[in-house]
Amino acid sequence: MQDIPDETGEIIGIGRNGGILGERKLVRYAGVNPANGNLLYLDIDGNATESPDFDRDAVWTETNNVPEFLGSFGFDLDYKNFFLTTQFNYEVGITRFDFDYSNAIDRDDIGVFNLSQDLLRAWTPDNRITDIPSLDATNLGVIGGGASDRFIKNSDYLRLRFLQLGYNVPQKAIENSGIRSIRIFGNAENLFTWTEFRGFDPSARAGSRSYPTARIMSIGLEIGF
Amino acid sequence: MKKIKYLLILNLAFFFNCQDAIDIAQPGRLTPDRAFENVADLQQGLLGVYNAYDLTPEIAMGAYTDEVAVGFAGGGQGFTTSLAFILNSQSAASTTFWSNGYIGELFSCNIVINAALAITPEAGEEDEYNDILGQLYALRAFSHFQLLSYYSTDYADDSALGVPIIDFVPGTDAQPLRNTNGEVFAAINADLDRAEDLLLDANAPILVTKDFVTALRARMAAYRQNYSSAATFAQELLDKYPLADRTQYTNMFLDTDNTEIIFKLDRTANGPYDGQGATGSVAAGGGAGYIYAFVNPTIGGGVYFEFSRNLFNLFDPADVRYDVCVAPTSVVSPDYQNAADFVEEDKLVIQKYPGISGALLVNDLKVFRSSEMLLILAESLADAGNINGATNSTAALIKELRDARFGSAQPLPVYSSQQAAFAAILNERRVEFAFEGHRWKDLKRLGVRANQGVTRDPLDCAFNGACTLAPDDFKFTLPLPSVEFNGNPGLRAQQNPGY
Repeated sequence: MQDIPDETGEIIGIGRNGGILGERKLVRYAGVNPANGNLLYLDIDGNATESPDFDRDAVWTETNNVPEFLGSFGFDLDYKNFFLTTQFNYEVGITRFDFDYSNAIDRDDIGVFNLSQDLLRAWTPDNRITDIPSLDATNLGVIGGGASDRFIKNSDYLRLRFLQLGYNVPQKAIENSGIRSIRIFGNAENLFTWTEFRGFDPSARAGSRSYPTARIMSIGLEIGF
Repeated sequence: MKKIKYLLILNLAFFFNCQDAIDIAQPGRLTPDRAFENVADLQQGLLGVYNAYDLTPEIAMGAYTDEVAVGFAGGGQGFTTSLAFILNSQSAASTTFWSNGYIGELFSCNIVINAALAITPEAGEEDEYNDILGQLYALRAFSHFQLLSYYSTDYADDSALGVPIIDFVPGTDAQPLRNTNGEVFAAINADLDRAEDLLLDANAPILVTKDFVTALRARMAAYRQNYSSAATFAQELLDKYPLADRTQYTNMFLDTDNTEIIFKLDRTANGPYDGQGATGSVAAGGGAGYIYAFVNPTIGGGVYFEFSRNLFNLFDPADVRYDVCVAPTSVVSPDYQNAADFVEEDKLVIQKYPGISGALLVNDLKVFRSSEMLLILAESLADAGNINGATNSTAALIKELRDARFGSAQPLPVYSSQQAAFAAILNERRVEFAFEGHRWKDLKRLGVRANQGVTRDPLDCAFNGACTLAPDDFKFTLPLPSVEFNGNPGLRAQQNPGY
């Protein structure tokens, strides 16, 4: 990194010398300008500006799309003939671009696609303190969606990846029937996800419009001979 | 002590061995000398190079001018980019022309040229071999010219910064800086001279011929305002390629007539450009018709960009160009300025790229046509001050073009000044080359002399207030893309003014 491509030791998209892998270099988003509803960014010196330039004002953000921790845990519970199995997955310390949300508040799609109700609180002269820029904001395209941290969102999550609840029919009840065992159970995959992330799926690796991890429910009957 | 000596030698042995471990030549690797072993291989390579050439980004660039307006079926295409005149070093416009030119076109051109120079053609194959090389040199010249036309501040100034000349296969460590326009033009001319000596003139107009070379020379001379040589080249081609009559003109845009075409890029059903590119973006790609509509060139075809109203106002229904460009399903408001709902009552659908059999919205991309040569000639006459008169004047040539397009004798225009003549040329080019990717560069090079910039109809730009762009605005030069600075930081200091 020290040699390529120059002495600054940084390549946008890969990272910088001494930094984390895939570190993002972005223009800092500062919110909606109460005066006119345009987007406000910070320039390289930390001053608010409506017309940033990526090449001049982007800074290394110390974020990437790799979680600090990820893992899984679960527990089993047996009570009399009932049994419960769970598996939880989690990722902690990760941020991602929420392009699903940015699509859902894209004013250019008003009247074309279904959009988020968040647009209802867009800036107007009577509603100046808000997080949604004016529908007539003139600088929406100055910095592309992937070039500022406006849509960088915390995507930590905890997900109930697998849940099984079942019942073993007691041996007594099936004695002399020729059947060795009967098990009745229900499975749920991805039943709950706890996250602040508003896109379709906090665990999806694609930027947007990826099909979210499916929630699958099934029931089963297992008979052993 | 002795042992240490042996250890050192052993160490050195390991050191050299390590090189082998990291520089592995995989058996399946296809290097240029293996890919191109004979003239037939070069022919395949040449077709691959042609495939890199695309005009759709150039055509899509028209959205930065007064060529298109918000379509009635749009979903915000261009709202935050072209229609708002937003251009910066991250814009698709900035990146697309650079990467298409250097990676898509010049890199592949140079690979095949290098491979060709390493091959000695067998007896009987020399002509074909020369023709291949000639086409590659001419295409390389064309790429440099296109790049220069987007990134140079002033075509007529040889000392202004142009673009880096890439006439070699650059390695990953290449960090070229910009050459001056004069240097780039000299490199282009050197390539064109080589090409002219080698070309066979086969398969016009979909492959490069000597006429392509002359046409490029004519256009380049006009851009540089070397009008005496521009006129010579243009006249040479005009003598050879007559203007199309009305039927031929109509068929030209259905890709069944080549009367007027000096060179075009062939587009076929199921070919690599059959399909939708990036809609609403200069990145474009795919069929040219998809720059304006999602589905087909009719009122129900998902029209997201339509005619800008003041371009449409220049079209006369008696002109064959009206029939070619305006879809019959369009709804034209008789009094659009007073329409209650301008968007819904005035739907001007573009059908210049209706598509070919089996491929909707996909048509050949016309690069050089004789009407361009005629208008270059008109430009050079205007430059010399010969603006009025029945012969040998700008007015006479405009009349000649209009006569052909209307199919009947049209009045001889009279221009009050040189500026008015240049404005008339710009307007005629607007109609003749509507949606063909000329407008932005025409304003850049002639706008000041014609006192004409981007002027959108107030109703077209009512939604965002971005209505005008003066012809000397810095946005008529694209910024160098910031992605290039990643690998070539020295270029950053050569960024164009304003960005």
